[in-house]
Amino acid sequence: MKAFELLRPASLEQALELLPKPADRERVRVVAGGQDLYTEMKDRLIEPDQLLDLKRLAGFDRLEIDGAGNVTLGALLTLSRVAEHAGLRASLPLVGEAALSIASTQIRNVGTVGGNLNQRPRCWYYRHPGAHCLKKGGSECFSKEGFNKYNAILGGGPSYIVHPSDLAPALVAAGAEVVLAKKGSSRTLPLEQYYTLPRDGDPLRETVLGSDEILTHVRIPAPAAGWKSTYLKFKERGSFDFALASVAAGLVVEAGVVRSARLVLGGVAPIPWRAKAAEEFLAGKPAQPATWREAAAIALSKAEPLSDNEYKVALSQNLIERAFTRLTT
Amino acid sequence: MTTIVDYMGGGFGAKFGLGVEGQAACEAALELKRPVHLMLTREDEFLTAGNRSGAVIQVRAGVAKDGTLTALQGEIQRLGGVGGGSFSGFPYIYKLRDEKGLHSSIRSVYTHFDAARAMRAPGHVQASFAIESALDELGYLAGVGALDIRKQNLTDQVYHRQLDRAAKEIGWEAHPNKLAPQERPDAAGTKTGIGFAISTWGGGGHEECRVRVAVGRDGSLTATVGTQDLGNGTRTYVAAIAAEEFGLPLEAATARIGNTSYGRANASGGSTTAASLAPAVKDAAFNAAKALREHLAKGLGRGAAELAFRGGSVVESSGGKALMTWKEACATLGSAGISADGEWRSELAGNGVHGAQAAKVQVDLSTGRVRVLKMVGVQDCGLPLNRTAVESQLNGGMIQALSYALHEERVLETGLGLMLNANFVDYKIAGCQEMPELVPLIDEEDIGRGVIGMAEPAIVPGHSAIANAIFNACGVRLRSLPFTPDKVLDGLALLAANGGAK
Amino acid sequence: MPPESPDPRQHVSRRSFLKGAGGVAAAGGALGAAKAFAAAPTTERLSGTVEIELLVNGEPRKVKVEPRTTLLNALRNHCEPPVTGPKLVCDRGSCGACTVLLEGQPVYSCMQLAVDCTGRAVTTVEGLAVDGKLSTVQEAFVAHDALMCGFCTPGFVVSISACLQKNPKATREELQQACSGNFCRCGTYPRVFEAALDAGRKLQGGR
Ligand SMILES: Cc1cc2nc3c(=O)[nH]c(=O)nc-3n(C[C@H](O)[C@H](O)[C@H](O)COP(=O)(O)OP(=O)(O)OC[C@H]3O[C@@H](n4cnc5c(N)ncnc54)[C@H](O)[C@@H]3O)c2cc1C
Ligand code: FES
Ligand code: FES
Repeated sequence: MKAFELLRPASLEQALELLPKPADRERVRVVAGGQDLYTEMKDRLIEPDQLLDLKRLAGFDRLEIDGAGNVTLGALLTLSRVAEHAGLRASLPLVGEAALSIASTQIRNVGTVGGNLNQRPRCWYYRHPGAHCLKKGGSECFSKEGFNKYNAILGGGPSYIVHPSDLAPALVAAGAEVVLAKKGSSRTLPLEQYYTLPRDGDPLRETVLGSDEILTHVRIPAPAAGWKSTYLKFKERGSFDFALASVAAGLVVEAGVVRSARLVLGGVAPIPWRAKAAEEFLAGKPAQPATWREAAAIALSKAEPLSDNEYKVALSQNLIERAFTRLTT
Repeated sequence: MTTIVDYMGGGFGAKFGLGVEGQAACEAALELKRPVHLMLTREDEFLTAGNRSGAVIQVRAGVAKDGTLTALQGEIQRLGGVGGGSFSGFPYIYKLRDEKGLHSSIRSVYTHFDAARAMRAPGHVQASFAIESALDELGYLAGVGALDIRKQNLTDQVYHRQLDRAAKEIGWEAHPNKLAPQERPDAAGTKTGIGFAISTWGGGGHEECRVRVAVGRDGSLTATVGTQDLGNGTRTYVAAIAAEEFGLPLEAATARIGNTSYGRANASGGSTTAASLAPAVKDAAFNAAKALREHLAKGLGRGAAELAFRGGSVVESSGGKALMTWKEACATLGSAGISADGEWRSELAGNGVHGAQAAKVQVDLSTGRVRVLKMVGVQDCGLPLNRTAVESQLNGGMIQALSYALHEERVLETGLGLMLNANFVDYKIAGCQEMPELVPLIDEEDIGRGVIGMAEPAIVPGHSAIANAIFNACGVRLRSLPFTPDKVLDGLALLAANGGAK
Repeated sequence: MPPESPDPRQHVSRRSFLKGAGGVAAAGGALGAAKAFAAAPTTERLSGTVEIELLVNGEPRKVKVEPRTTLLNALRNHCEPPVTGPKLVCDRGSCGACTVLLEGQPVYSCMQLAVDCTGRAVTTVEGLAVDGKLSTVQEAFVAHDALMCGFCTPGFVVSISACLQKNPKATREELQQACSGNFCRCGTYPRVFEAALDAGRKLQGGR
């Protein structure tokens, strides 16, 4: 790791003052738990001169559920606390399940909500210091023609990364919003719009976060009455691993008929992939296996697998069926 | 130059030669005239410190109706990077009754990757996978089943005995789908299968170790030898053998090992350490005990043969009457104490072991995930020096085999010339969540053969047994390692396309 | 609902750790370091070499480190005498050999900055023993021969101790889940979990 200066603002205002201009983005990096950032620094993928440490900002590590059931997660809340929160598990099981599926006990004890949502891709080319790929300012996404077993089957091009966060698909499925603060103002936007496809935005980044912004909170609206949800993560290895594919699913079923559905896929696209067509299809359909199978087919109908990842299509479809089955039995 | 290795971590290979890392450390130490601590990064480790040789193997084979091998052809390409690679011969263990039906060719294909080095049972793991897969496939085709096709082509009855024991322990008798993959998935969408495979290894000792056993006037008992420890097994049996000779508890003896200034010792590899070292320790301890008895006999006015060491005392060899305590006996020694050297004794060591393993797996048809539910390892090793340690080695062999069966793969990007996954996130090894029920069984029927090493055969058959169990479960024959979900799903899709899967 | 884990920031004591070594200054100007901490909280800046005090196994340990020095590196290479229980293997939070307790919670010490650990209790495998007597978990590891080469052992002992501390009745599955960030190349897992379950039984039966 290259030597750096550690800045420890004592208040959000101080932190916002210290955020860099776009040109200095690589020089000054925000750090929360560091469980992703330090690995990038140790591999010298990034070599910031300054780290802006958020850990001393008071009040951003809270998990609050108000009387109406709306949830607020502070950006500095650790993943362990999200995973273990009984109230959250009761109302929004998919969020707790997603948090518990992340990495290991040791990382969950330190890693934060903000860090998880803003972690960088795990594509093997991006993570290899010797591969100057598109994501690092190079001209080519090597995975397209190279090793792409773990890469995107949906929304790919010109980069084919998959977004590695487990919290993100669960929170998108829960309809979460993120609060972004910058000096003198803040904005709130749906988490779904926080992530950008490489073809729509800057392929060097995965989100719309400005260099002068910090993600401070995540807000999850109270779930509708009867909403059931789950997060199903499929890992190649049972011990800690990133998702080969994951499914965040939510359903309201009344009298055997689907009233509304949410379906977001992880591990298959550069962003948490909301399967809107499948959601629309589901509304009004009988809650039964044939429906799930058809919805799964619709969700993956636009998939464009690369040479080594066609298996992700069937895998995702099967996981979707399994998730909805779990919610209705 | 003195090499000091107090504790070295697990030693699973790449230990015979100095290696570039060893050379670098030596040169730096010579240059600086100071001790040097060289620590490789994981990436360096993957790229320069040696890996198992790869192999591409093509097999054609035919059997008679009863499963007897009649024709067998193997074309083997060893992939050892800039080295020759390793392969332990074809066919592996199994024999054709008529050798005329056998043809094989072995070639090395050289590439620009670093030279392969020895890794736990070099060559055997590759050879096992080829023959065990081919034979298994023929067993189903001939309709004799996975267990009988093996016995049919093995003349050595030890394998029959070990395979039967593994079959019993894994539950083969009650297994519903012995002759074909499971037809319908169970309620959870899974299918279950059982597979077998066998191993062999030398593990014999050599005339290499010089051991000194010394008894001090203060009652101390020390066995000294230059060899290093791979883990803590060597240290333990060196002390145990010496202590036993003097009728003392294990804690009473000290093993001094891991220092080349302690004297000649064997190079560590080939599972030869136990069979090379244990006889020499026994010999030295025997000689030292004899010398001590002679010394004590003089003082006690008896014949040396009338004395024995038992339960921390010097006793009458007939009758066992205590004559003096160990402490009292040692106090009669001069300041130099008593010591004796020992050498390898061929009659105390054997050579050549077998081994049979069975694996039970569950395949999730929706995700392609293979879960190993249970593994049974039956292993002979002549005289087991420490049953706990032998069982742990057997467990460890099965677990490492499970690990490279399901996960481990060095991904080399030939276009860019990079190893893409030289770290522990992306190069996956099995962890806590992958652990099956493990049943390590020591086959003690040939215990009289003396000490034989067994750490390497323990790793040989596991992956083959798992591959065969996957086929037995779901009908997918996986021909390349590791058996990851993508390959299982692709295999299932192919079966479905051919109208094979339900 | 389980009790919330303590807020780490409450334990960061502003007085305890920074001596005015190179690079420590308040954001707004040339205040001396000592004064800066007494004044209203401002942005702290750390660079170069700083002297900090770690609380390792109940003992204060002064070390000179840089902001980039990991806790693991500080323990093994900057403490005198060194604390070598935690092992360096991957240096990337992916093997578990460096696991220590930070305020009672298992973390990877290779993934913590030493300067972030001041004023927080660091417990390594050495610190689990009480008055030179092995802890229940440590004793169980010995009794069950739950190690081969022993390299992963300190990490497993720490992870299992933390898990059983929370819940001595933890099942095999819960223990495996708690240790899914610890890896053993030798494959000692079966005996590790035998030892852990045995220790759990002793902890329930005992005090
Ligand atoms: C071995 C290993 C396994 C892992 N497995 C998983 C897994 O299975 N699933 C998964 O989802 N993740 C996984 N991770 C990734 C990740 O480290 C953790 O999920 C963790 O949440 C990161 O949080 P942190 O607070 O430590 O982030 P940091 O490392 O501090 O930050 C990560 C990134 O986010 C930025 N950032 C942090 N906080 C904010 C904020 N408030 N506003 C704006 N930007 C911010 C940082 O600048 C940095 O770029 C794994 C990591 C490792 C090392
Ligand atoms: S050395 Fe810290 S987790 Fe591997
Ligand atoms: S005992 Fe050797 S790594 Fe675990």
